[in-house]
Amino acid sequence: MVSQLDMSLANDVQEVGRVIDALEAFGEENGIAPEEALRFGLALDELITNIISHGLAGRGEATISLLIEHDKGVLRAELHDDGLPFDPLTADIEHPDGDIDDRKIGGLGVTIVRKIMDRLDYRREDGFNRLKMEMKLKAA
Amino acid sequence: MSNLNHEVIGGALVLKPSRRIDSSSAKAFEDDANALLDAGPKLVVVDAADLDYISSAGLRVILTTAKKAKAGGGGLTIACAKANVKEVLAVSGFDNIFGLHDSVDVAIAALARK
Repeated sequence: MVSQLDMSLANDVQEVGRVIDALEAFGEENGIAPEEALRFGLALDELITNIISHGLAGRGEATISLLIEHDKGVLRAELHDDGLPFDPLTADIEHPDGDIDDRKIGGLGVTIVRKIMDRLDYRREDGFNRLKMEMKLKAA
Repeated sequence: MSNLNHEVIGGALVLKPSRRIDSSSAKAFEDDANALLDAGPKLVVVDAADLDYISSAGLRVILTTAKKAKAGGGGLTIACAKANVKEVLAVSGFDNIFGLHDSVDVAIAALARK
């Protein structure tokens, strides 16, 4: 059976906490291991934080929508936003190196997303970023 | 008043964040850690035993806390990280920068040696 979680998000980084809370509850209802639900949530956190901090920076009202789906051992999500175009598949990322004094965090979120998700599909359409993603769950 | 669980053990400030450090809670961790660091020891152990989750926003505030500790003549290391947290630390290379330890006692001893 397919079950879904549909959320509409405000342009506020505090929304990330609400998304992860909702995902934890969704995971519990669907018998998904808490670590796996959180791992998926981490990738969504990084993407939503990017959208709010960069894509929608300086804007008030904005549209961000998130659809999460669990189906046969796979977690899927669709994330839509009307911010600046941003394709996490092709974005340049800095390699993590350097010691504590010159270390920067920029780009790390995208690295985490690429590591966690098994599939990522990006389209820019009608002024929206549309990102589809998929993570296979480990067999319980 | 700090909401961040903490205690001073053997001359080290042990911070024990619970549940998550994500982009909605990172600022609170940073503020609390800064205030505790101003008032207490500059050797910091992040005891991650109760931490289920850290995002890159969380790593950023661990890094700023570490820089502050170092500027005060101390340092920061991490103990008892769970698998999800370890994964993020490994992707970022933070495991090498800060060191990961299996217990708070071992972490404190490692800081004291530096």
